[in-house]
Amino acid sequence: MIFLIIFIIVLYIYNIYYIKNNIDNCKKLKIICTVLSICALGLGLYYDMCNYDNSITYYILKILNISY
Amino acid sequence: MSNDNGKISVRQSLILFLMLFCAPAVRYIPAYAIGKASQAAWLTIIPSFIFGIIYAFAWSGFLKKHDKKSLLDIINEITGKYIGGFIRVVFFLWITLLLAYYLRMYAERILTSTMPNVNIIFLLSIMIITLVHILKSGIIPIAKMAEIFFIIIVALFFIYNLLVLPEIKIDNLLPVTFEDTLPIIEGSAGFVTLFSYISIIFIFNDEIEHKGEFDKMKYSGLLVAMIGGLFFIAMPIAVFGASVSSKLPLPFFATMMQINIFDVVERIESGIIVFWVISEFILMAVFIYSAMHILKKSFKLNNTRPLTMTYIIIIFFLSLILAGSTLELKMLSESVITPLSIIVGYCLPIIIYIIGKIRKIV
Repeated sequence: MIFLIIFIIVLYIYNIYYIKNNIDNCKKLKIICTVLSICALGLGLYYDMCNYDNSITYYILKILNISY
Repeated sequence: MSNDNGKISVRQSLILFLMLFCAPAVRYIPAYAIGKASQAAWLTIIPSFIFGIIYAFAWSGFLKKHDKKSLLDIINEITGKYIGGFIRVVFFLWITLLLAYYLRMYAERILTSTMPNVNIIFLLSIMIITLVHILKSGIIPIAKMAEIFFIIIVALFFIYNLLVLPEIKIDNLLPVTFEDTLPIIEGSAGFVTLFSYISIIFIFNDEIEHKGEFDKMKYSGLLVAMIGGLFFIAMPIAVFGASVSSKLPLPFFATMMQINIFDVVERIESGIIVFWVISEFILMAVFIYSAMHILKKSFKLNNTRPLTMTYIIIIFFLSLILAGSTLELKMLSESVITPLSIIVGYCLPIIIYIIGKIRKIV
């Protein structure tokens, strides 16, 4: 989990650095990059903590009331 | 074709579509069609061809006046800013779900067919690292790569089908009666799902150089897809019969496992794995490129390169938490992905085309 958090943070810092130095008018891009990084971190942490009973398909099929 | 103007040709985009068609066609089309229409499943190509013509007709209509515009811009022009924005979000979520599903399915298939003791994270990591690398350079290298691999894949496909010919029994494809009409139409939903992927390619239509070629090439592309589809479905039925084929998880793959030349050359199905992995790689690369194009168009960005890696990591985790087993993936495919793809990728563009026609925009 620590590796995951460090990896996503390093990638985020690299992306922000890349945007700052290579792309003009970068404010929007920085915001989207931050949102995507937060999503990636959230999904990574969820994967680290979840087990086979609560996969996304399990919830989708439960909502659609489909048994298998 | 030279790509000096930074655009791909219509021929390249049709080859991309045929590559997108290959990977799910090996796995999904035979199992779905045989499950619905039994021994008459090979006839599903007839209604599918009709559905394909209707779809191609709608796209021709779009491209008549808007050949330099992305599908997203065309939708915006026809439906307005807010509905157009909502449709963009739907397209983005649909592509993300498809990507997570295909990435997971690729890994599951390799695990079950050839490498049962390998860690799934290792297989996924190899795929995403390669995707990140190829997507740095844009759509042109992907299209050129697809052109080269398409020739190899077509050659492999015909060689394998020729080798399996001694095993086929034509009687297994019969009888076909009028009572099979409804199951045949139902079984064609698999093909319609794959047709819907054309709309994913047309998301970056502004990067396709048209020159009026789509009208000339649309039927040939459709015909190639249908001939391929016929082999994918008819071969398993002809070799095993409908009842056995419907119980096999990968009927076409199992058919290729039957190749035996004078008891010397056998178990050469690994070529089909090459076929799968290459076409699935192209499929994922095109889908990620389209998703990035949606972000680029929606937020008017100059460059989406820094977002690609983070997006692929999201897909990586999403594919891991998508399902607990292959059974769940199969259920997701049948209950959610098939209807969703038909609605979003097939019906929605046709509805938008009709609205555009009424409003005299297309």
